[in-house]
Amino acid sequence: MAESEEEAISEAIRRYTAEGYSLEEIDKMVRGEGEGPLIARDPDVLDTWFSSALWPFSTLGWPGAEAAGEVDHQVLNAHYPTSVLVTAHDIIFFWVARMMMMGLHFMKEIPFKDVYIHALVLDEKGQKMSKSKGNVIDPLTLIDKYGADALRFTLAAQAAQGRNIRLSEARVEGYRNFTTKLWNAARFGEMNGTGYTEEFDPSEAQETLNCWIAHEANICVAEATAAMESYRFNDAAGAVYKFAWNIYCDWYVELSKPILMGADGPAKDETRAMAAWVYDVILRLLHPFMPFVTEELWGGLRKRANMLIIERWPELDSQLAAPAAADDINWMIGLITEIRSLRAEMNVPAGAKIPLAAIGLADQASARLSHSEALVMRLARIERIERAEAPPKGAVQFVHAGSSFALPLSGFIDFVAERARLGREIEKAEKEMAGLDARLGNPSFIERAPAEVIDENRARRAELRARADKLTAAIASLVEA
Amino acid sequence: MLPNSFDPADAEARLYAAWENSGVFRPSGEGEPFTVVIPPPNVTGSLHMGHALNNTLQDALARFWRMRGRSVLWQPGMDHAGIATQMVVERQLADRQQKRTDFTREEFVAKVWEWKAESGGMIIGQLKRLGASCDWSRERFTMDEGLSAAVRKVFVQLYNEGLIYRDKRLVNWDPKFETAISDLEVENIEVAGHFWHFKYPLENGETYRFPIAYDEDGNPTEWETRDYISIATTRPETMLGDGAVAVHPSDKRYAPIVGKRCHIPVGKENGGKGRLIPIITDDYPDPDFGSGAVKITGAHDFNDYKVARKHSLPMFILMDEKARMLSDVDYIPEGYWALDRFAARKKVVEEIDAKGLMIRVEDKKIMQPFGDRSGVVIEPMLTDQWYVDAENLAKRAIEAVEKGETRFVPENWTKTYFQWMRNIEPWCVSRQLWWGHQIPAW
Repeated sequence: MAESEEEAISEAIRRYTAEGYSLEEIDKMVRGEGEGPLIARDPDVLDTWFSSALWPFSTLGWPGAEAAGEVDHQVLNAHYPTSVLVTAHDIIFFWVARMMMMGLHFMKEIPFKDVYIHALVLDEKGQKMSKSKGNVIDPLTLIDKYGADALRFTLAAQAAQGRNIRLSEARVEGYRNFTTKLWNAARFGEMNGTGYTEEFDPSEAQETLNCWIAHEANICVAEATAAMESYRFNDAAGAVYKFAWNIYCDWYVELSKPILMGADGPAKDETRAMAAWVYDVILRLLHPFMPFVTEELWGGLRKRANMLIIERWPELDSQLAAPAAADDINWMIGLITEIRSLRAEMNVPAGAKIPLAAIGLADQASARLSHSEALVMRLARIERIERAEAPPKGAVQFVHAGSSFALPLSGFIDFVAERARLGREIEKAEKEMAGLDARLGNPSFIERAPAEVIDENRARRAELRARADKLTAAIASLVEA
Repeated sequence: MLPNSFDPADAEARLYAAWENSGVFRPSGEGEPFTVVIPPPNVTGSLHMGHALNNTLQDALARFWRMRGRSVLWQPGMDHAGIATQMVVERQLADRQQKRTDFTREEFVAKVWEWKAESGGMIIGQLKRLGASCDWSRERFTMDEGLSAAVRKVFVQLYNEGLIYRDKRLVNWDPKFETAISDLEVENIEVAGHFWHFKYPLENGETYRFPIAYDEDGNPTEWETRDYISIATTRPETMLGDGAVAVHPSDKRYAPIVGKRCHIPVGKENGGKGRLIPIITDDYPDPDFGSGAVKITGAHDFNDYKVARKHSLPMFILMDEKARMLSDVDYIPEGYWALDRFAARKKVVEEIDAKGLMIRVEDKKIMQPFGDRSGVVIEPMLTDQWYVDAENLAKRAIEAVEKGETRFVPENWTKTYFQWMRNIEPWCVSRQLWWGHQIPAW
């Protein structure tokens, strides 16, 4: 047993000498002329996992780096124990356990503080990918087609703890569209002269809209940070996605248009600064998941001191909290969303401008409506807003945040025909539900069907229930003409 | 102004080069260290979806903590992947009608290094395409000089501490590669097989009453007289190595014959009656499975091995490195010498059938172990190998997780870890290959 051949030879000579061999005899053995070769090495090699077991310290320079003054001495001291090992469950025993054993024995310390065990990537239907099934998806093909960011985001957004990932190309395509959405938002900003200087302090914003977006950005920072710190990759990706797409691109961009395209002045200056500042927050938050498109946008938008990769992650800032502004804007967004969905539900022609009746609004709601009238009219395609004490005849009624509203739709839709249509839709949904119930109630189906098929059936059942409820509510809201 | 749209093909390569060249993948040296070692991909590997997920998550963490001001080191490297790599190079030789043994060991290993220089490590470029922000200036390889020195030091120290030793134990043997392999390299596949029921005649024609019908309370109502014990096996070729027949201690049916002996119905001993083996009791046989009696072949079955060790039964090694029946050993009749194990199986069945000792053959789905790379049936073999005393090393590793020094996320994997670690077996670390860290024993 020796760490080198020289050592082995010296050891052999020592042993033969001790056994009483003369120097001459030993010399003959060295030259291969004696009783046999002086030494012979075991021809076997070590299990591949033997060297892998040393990986957390051997790669940091051990054993050489243990000596002060060696190149990696600092690295080994600073970076062992490592922070986290990210791996799959099938090698917990073969690799993780053995690194634990070797690390503790030779370094006297654990090799890693956390071991994050991620799930498997299955195909769309929840089947394990295998050559024989022909359902293997090649990551490089997807990268070529949609870009690395889209693939990365797809994987991270589905990396929930303890749940396997079902990979569908449609999702990758969807996240590619997300990069396009981001890109377009950046171009919108450019075309509207957005930008900010170092002096810009988002907590000083005056415009309700700007206070709101800073408040929402701050919430997103809190969620994403907490999620990343606790390996909830899906929650982090989900929070940033929702903020970037639904809140910033869908609403902030729309709501800020009148200011950005309106007259010059402090409101416009503030909005230009805030739009760019929040956009940068999005780029920072998205960078770990979508490094390429965020870096490209970072450098492409304006001259920067650093590349995004070494920029700072956004800090949580309690000064940005603006709950009152957030309530106001979110109230308005809720109202617009409600009207839009009713319009769709009732088959109102997309281009038609319809009236809105606000019924007996309380003071706060009334003030909110007054402040947001112009935006509500533009974004919900409203012709005029009437204040009324009672709902008009021939109207669709709805309640938003405790306030009653109505859409007087006579002349836009045929109430009788609409009610009949809604009735038929409900019937259809209920018929399909009954079929699913029969299947899901059949013990032999539950026993034999693959889990993913059962899941799909249950999901479809829930979807239909929600749809039927919505349609029923729509019928109820059709007040007789 | 930004262009109309984002072009990943153009931007990705350009941005990656800009990051790498600016040195931002190296630890900043400022702030608390944050360190991740990459699970080293095989040098033969190509990026699959599992790698894509694994490295996306590591990269997201590396980038997140880098932006949080930590001194991030994501340490990359590759594994030399013993069998996989040796196979790739052997296949390349086969294309030129050559084989490994046409060369000396040194020549062959030189060829592997040549292959690595030319076509190995494709996956590194693929990880870069994914955006992995590893510190490539520190890239390591498990066979590089530094890591090889680490391996030698560890082996020698563990040996001197008595934590590595030589032992004869049962291993998974790959008859194609002629090496021991790890459990991870064994794939258990369900195949259509047979279950042969044979009579093992009792010594000196002894007989006993065996129940064949029972009442509602499970009490026997009818018996027949037997001069044999019924044994079923999926692997008749291993019968020449039987060391005993075992029944469960609670199995009353066999109580009259426990402690007596029976003949293995194949072999030339005792005037062609076959070698005599004892009938013993052990908790291993399941009284409700088959006849409830099992043959114990310690040298060719993992369960049997445990029973054989416990009862100090003799273990007869039946096959050579290529899983052919051994020649020139007295417990194997000459007609079997050098036969392939499957040919031997056929011959054993024919011989027993000819003696009239076959009861019946049953078609049966059986789980059969295959080498995941060789595709041949793995043979449990009793060989001399180097072992690491894993039980000893596991103590501290269990304690570290119990104390929360190392934490599994999600937490439920802690249970898996404990379960394995508390039932750990000696770790067989030697392999009969040419590519790898040669054992530093002279």
